[in-house]
Amino acid sequence: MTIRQRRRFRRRPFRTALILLAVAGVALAAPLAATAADTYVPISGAGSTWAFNAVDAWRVDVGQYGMRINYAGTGSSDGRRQFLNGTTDFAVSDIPFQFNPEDGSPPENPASGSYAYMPIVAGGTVFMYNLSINGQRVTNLRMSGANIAKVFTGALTSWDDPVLAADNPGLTLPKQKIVPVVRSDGSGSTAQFSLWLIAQQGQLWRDYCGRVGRAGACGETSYYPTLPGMIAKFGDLGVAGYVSQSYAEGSIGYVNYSYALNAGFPVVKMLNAAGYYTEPTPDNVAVSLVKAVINKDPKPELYLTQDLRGVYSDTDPRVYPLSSYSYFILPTKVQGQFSEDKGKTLGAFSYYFMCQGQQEAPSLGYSPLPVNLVKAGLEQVAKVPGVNKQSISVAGCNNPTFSPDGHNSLVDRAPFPQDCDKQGAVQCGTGSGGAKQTTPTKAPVAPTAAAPQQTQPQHTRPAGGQQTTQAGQGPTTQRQPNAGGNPTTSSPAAGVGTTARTVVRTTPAGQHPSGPTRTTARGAKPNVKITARSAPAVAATSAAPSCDADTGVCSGAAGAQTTDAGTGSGGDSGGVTVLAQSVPLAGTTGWGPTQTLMVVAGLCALLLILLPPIVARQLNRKRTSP
Amino acid sequence: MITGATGAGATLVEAAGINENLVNAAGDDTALPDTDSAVTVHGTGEFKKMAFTVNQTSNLVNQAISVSWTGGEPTDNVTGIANNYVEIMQCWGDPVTAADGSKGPPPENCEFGAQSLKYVSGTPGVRVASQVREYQDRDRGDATVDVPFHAVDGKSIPLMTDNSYNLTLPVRPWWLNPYFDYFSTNEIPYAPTYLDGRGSQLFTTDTGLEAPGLGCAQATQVQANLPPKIPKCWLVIVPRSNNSQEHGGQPPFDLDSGVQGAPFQPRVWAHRVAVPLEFKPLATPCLLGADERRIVGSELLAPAMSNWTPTLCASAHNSPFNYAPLSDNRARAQLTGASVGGAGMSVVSRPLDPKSIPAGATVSYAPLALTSMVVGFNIERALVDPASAPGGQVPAAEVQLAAKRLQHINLTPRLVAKLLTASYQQSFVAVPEGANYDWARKNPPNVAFDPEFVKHNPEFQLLTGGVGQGQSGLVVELSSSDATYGLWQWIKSDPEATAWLAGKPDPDGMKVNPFYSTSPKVNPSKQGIGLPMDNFPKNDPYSFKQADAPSSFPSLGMVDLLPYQNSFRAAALATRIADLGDRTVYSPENSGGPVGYTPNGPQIQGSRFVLSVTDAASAARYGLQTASLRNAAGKFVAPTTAAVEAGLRAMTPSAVPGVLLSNPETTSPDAYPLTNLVYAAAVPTQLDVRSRKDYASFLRFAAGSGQTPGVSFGRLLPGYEPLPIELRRQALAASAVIDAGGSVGPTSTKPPTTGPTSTPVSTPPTTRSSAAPAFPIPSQLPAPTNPATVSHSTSAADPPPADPPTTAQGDPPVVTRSAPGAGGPKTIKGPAKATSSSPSPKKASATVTAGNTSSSSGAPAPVALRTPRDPVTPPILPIVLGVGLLAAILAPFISRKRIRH
Repeated sequence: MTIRQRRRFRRRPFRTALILLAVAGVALAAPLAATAADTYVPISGAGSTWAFNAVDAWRVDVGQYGMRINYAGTGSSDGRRQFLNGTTDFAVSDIPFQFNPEDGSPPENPASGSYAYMPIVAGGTVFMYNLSINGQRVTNLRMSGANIAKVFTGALTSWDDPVLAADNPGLTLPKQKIVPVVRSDGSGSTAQFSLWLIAQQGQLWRDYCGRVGRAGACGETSYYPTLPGMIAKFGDLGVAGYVSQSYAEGSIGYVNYSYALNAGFPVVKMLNAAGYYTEPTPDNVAVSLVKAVINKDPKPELYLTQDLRGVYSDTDPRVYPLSSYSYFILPTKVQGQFSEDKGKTLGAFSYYFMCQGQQEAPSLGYSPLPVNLVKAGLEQVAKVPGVNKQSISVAGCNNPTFSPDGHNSLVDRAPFPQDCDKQGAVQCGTGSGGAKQTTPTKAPVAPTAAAPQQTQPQHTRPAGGQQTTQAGQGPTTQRQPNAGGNPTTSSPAAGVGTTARTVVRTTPAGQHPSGPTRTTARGAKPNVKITARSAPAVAATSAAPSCDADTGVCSGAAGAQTTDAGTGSGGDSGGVTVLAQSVPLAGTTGWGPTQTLMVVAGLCALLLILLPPIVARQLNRKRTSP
Repeated sequence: MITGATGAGATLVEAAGINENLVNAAGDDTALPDTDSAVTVHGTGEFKKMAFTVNQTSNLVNQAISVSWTGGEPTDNVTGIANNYVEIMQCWGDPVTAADGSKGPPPENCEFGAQSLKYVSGTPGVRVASQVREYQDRDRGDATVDVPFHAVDGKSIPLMTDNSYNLTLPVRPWWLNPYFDYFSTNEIPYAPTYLDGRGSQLFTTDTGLEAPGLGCAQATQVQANLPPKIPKCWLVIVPRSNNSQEHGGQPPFDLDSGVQGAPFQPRVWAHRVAVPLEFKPLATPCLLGADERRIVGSELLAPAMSNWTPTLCASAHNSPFNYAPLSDNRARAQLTGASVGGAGMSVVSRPLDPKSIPAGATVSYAPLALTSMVVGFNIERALVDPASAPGGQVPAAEVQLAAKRLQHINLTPRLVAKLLTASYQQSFVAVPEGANYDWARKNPPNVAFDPEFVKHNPEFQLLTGGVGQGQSGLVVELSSSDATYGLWQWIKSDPEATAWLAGKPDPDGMKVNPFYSTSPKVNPSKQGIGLPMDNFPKNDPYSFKQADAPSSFPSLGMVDLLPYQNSFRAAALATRIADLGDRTVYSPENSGGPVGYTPNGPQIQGSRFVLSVTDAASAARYGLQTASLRNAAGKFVAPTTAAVEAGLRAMTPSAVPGVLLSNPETTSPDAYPLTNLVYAAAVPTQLDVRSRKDYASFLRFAAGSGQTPGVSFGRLLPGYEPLPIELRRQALAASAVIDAGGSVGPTSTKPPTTGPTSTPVSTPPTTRSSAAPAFPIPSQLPAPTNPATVSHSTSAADPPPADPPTTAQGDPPVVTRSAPGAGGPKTIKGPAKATSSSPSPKKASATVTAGNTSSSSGAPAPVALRTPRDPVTPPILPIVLGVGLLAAILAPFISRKRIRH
């Protein structure tokens, strides 16, 4: 951009000079006059409760742009039903239309050419649980996929079952009944969960279907079949509301991650194919969905739908297996109460949340959509009648995952799990979900110290390959509940969430970078392979910090305490979620240091052009004048 | 208010034999106060005794107005479809003259008929299917009322655009149109007239943004060759009588159930009352696509923020702002973990634990908004059986008020504790058998029957609460919040409530549900609940199953009977529509899916009874009444302006200098105990220069014109009280610190000791600013202006001087308003004598002195705010100006020709 601008300056220096003068003198902080804003008509939608917390936030956000959006979280099945009835302008669903439902619900038959799918936000379906040991809440529970399947098919009924002890070597789980909590309404979360069960735990699921009387018709289902002893509740709020009660001790239910954060409850760290137990932080979800196959079959009933089997078996240590997308179902023709005027609103609203709205996704407990899906999604939006196609260009999209070369920048920066999150004899005490407080663990216990160093090195390493820093060595203080009773994190002062992510290369010298290092390293080619998954075992009680030269995995920094940053646990706690800064591709409005610097550069270029002829002319005059 | 009526109820009954004195003790006037544009119009013909008053008809935005009437025939069946009711709608268009000479918009131009789509089945009072124009047409074959909808853009929606109209399909929409649906319509299809001949409704006036078919306040191009035009808009009130009168003595069908059919039938429409509505011009919305500046935090600020953001972006200096409501806990955690891509500012009621803050970082706090947590309610007067009324009869005057909304109730901490602990019998479908629930057997069925409640609300000797969950508990949210923590503090500070929660029965023998007991001996879990909490647990493991439900159906429990809401706002909305969101109905042909129950739907009109915990602004938005709470001084206090200001004065210092904590335990007799003050918190050293400028600008706005009450964009919505001058100064000082990237915390460690009318003194803070700030520090802080309305559930009209929000730079220092009519907003007194010796805000200064917050009582010492040199910003300005100057000097010497040459 700068180069182009310079060229322009060369061509038309004087006009440019005048313009620049105007800018510099008058409007340094008042860059762009607003042009006439568009007007929008109200639109209404219904569906997913999984995505509700994101959609509801966006709905409110666009009020300032003159849009009036209504959204009812009535469940994915109801959203699709309303869309088919024409009583809603758009639907939000976690799964596609069910042409051939296998669970006995009526088939859904949208007219061909009447709809298109668009992924809107990524997130994790989590297992929120309520469990205590000796009166102290467990926050670090780990479970393998097989054990989760057994719990939700009635094959595992007590928390002190030895198979769960194998997942949790650091905990002495109580002899307590396991109470699975499922959704009572037609739910995309249930559908996602059942798809995973079919793909990963097929035998358990088929056996279960036989037992609950759905033999032969128990494939993917939006309606979870229950056994006596299971609890079923309406919506994510119902499930989270139940599990969070004191009497629900021993219960475990599936909800979107954001509900566990809101309820202040922990979530199961789920074993992935790499042998790590993870939770769906925004970072981890972004990594996981790299392996999601997005269907490019142009048939509308398939296009952009997700095939998550690759996610289930991905061997990146950061993967959370039950990561998925939620979808808008967009109308592609005028039908029901939908009109072209509404299409214009729907297009603008979609553009907002695919771009800007994704910035707040991590705060809310979701993960932003990557650029490829934003592009494909906006192409879907273009099919909506009435959409102003020029206004939904991906250029200028303030999506936080965008990187200059187009890949998901979250993936680069996503921290690796702690070593103690690896399957094995040690278990992190670090909390999860909405409950960050540490749970005491039995020996052998990996120290939770030095967690912040276990991060992915590539983008934070200075080009010279020298050691950078170790966050845990600074004036780190112990995590303590604050006045409001919530756990918070402390980190070194300089660049919280930045230094914490930098990587110890060779020595834990404890020098702190003077400022954020990431920005300087932006765009640097990764020169280190990700090898964290082969990280060596860590000495449990090492007094001095030691860090692996290749992976940057450190442990045992004396005196350093766990910080949220870098534990890979909890997008909510702030320190964890390091998101890429928005990289506007073009057309960004607003005035910032960058723009100022551009002006300065432009002026310098101008001077470079102007000075020689001026000097030359002055010299000429002197010469020619007698 | 009936404060002090303690125990008087019984005495009155005995003394007088008849308890007329109790009648209307709780009030029934829930209308909004009149403004100077209030209009009263009389009915015609058979309705000529009726007089309709609209409290505001000009200067309107998208807001609530109130429509009330007198002299009507009482609706003969408030709970069902009946005779004699009122329909209200909004219309557009130039007036046409009806056959009887009356003028108004044509019926085709009115938004009406969508409400009946809302509830598939359920309560007649809400879903009045027969009023759907096409339904009644079908039933009657009456061609004369075949009324299409003419939208303002020239399009016409014919009757029934959906070809598959079929009454046998249960959920089939009969009428789909792109302009309004049941989410968005503002029609009131069924407003009862009570036995006293009066009625009252809140009506939402929609601009073209909300109702594009009407296009009010919006220029619409109807024809290509005509210039865009802003349409005339109307409020149309259609009184209905009975079938005989509406059809000239010969109703087309024998419809015993009452008058049905669209209000557009000529005989009915002839009696409409059309009131012109004048809207303010629409504010220019923000431009989509600019990168937003993010703030996260307390739900208490969410309503204010959504009203502020359209104005904030109007300054070309600012990014648009984005506010994501989170629990205070999460907001605090996100602040200390602030990172690239995270929000740089959090909004909280309680400060961060200093220990949680990274060394070297300093959190700056700026007071943002003063509001309160309330118990909002929607209660209609249901009369007791005369036999159980004192004196064996219900006074005639009380009978006259039947089904009207209550205006006041009083709640003690113990009563709120009872409502939060599932301790009334009707918290359960049926109190379970067995010794474990023996505690409940002598408890009252619900709060309306609780002697303690009746004692403090004596009119409830004559009123009942029907049956159900609404009368037995509070609608609450699942998330945690600092405000909720304050509510439990308030309960905990009351000796009666704590004793009762510990297991001691109240004087009438009512016991706590042991699952909520604070005593480990009483609580079956062997652990008492710890107070205060920051959320609302539903501790009772009660579970039941509908007898006829199949085995595949799940059992139901407390979270099903009185479900959690997603937010304070959702709780207020549920209260307004009297729909708890419970789904416990099993019907064999249910539409809830293979294992679902169907929604119970809203409560029946005329005996609604819902109470919720919400914020004052959400309560005001949805027109809820708010309970008076008994404070530690023993007084019942409503969240009025004065009481909330007293609550502010009662606040105590926190561990963080300059940050006050709510004091729900205050013994100040005037203080509302659940007063909340929310702060913006930011760590300036973690922010880049651009975000610091934005946040500082936001704070200047919030401390400046953002504190002017009103409902237009940029104003402080009803439910908030303007911050006193000291706190606004503190916010401005914090904005200066943030602007400068400074690291010294804000000022004032003492609670403000003065109200809004105090005399502010001394120097407003200056700010270091390299350019004209987007929202300049007002050289003179305006007197916070308070409409001295008694209730927070009123939405005050905007101050009349038309000051478009887009020009909200600084503030009109005084807002004076004429206050016609009783109950109107009081005139604001003169300006606070803010004498300004403010240096120019443009003057760069390395040292900023915070506003001297000394006040009449003396004293918070001024704190010097060092603003260290901005470490991030390079000295751009001098360079640019220098270079620019150089270019300007040189430019005249060079002509284009010469350079080409």
